[in-house]
Amino acid sequence: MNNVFIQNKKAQTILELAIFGSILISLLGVLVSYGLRYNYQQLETQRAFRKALGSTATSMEDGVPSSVAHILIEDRHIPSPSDSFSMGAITPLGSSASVTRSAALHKTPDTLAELPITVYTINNQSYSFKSAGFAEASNVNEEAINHYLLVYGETITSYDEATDSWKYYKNGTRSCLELGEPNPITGIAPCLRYSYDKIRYIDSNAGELISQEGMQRQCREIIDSEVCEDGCKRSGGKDCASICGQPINVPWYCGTDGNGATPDTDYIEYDTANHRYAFPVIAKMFAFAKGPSKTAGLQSDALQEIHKEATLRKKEDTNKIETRDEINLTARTTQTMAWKKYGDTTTSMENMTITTVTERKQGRVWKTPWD
Amino acid sequence: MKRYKNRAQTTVELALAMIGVVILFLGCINTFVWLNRVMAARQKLYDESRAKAASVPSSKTPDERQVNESWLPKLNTLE
Repeated sequence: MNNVFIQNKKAQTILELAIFGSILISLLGVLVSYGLRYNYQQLETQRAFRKALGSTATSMEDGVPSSVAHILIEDRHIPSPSDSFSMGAITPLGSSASVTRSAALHKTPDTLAELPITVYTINNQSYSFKSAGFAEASNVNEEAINHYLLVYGETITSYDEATDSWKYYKNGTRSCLELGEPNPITGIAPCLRYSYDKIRYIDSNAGELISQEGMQRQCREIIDSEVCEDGCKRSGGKDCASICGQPINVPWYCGTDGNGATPDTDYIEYDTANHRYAFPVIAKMFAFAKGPSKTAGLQSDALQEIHKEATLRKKEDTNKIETRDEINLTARTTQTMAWKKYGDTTTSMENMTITTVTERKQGRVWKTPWD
Repeated sequence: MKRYKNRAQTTVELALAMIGVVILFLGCINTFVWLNRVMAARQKLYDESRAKAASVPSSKTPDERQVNESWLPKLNTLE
């Protein structure tokens, strides 16, 4: 009985180690994968920030973008112990960074080349897009300027005929709307109200990278004085009712008759109590986007095709047997980049397919002599 | 005699298997230590070169401001 009992326990330790060892290897493998992923993520974060920092160094120079945001995406190979040769998978890792130099905050872009841009770098291939654009308005009175300032911030410049350039809005060419009482000595009447001949401002929705939510929010602020007032009060503004009561140019994408949009469709207020609007022009523009977040730029839906090819070659000759084991991993990621052509006032959007291919090869050759 | 033959088999198996387990552990520990060393070294490298990378004016392009990471610690699993 004893002999049988001992014989039954043969190789029990090896068996136990084989079972628990595989669990142990899997656990360690998961930890190594996690460590590698964290490491690569740190690398992406640092690289994206450094790229943004490098761009900021030149942002105060003329003719270069005033602000550059960098989005970095790279396909990384993360090994996994559960695969042959720890082949693992290809995982896209990304990071984004944007740096603004406080010393240049007061500066506004003067030319198209100086508009802020967003640069996507996908596996070392860069794609650059304007993240804002210029918009113009004519014959704007001083009261309306405050409304423009509320909506577009301190980005307003006005055209100066004398120097043929865009200047700080108070220094541009202006006409007097209302004269005061003439000075009894000089006889010159002071101007009480001015109208600026032509102003230009930066619209974050007039660039190439736009979002449905941002456009709708801005349109509501412009077309609905109560929404405008609410926003004005929240930001601590004064004379909100007076400022928001001033009419300003309604952008083409909000959809109003005769503003040049194609198709020329009006917006609809479907919930008057809550100031909810439907903007058919914007909705048509983003019809291509899937999911709740409808934005231009790199679309969130991606297709990754993973192709694993295992090859086993065996060669025998008089001296030895040679076994060659190879695994080829190919990951093909297809994404869509969408953007609005700069200056285009139709609902059409541009798009392109970005395909990245990452390959990994692992193999080993075993040679065993016959004797 | 048969009984004596099987004696200490467990010890022999354990001793052999433990060598493998220890090598595996050492490899993993070395990998973890390497990952941590690389992360710490990279953080230091980027922090130290940050001010220089942001210097104005400069003719350097954003790519030239990237850090050369070739000198970061190399992984040697069984060292």
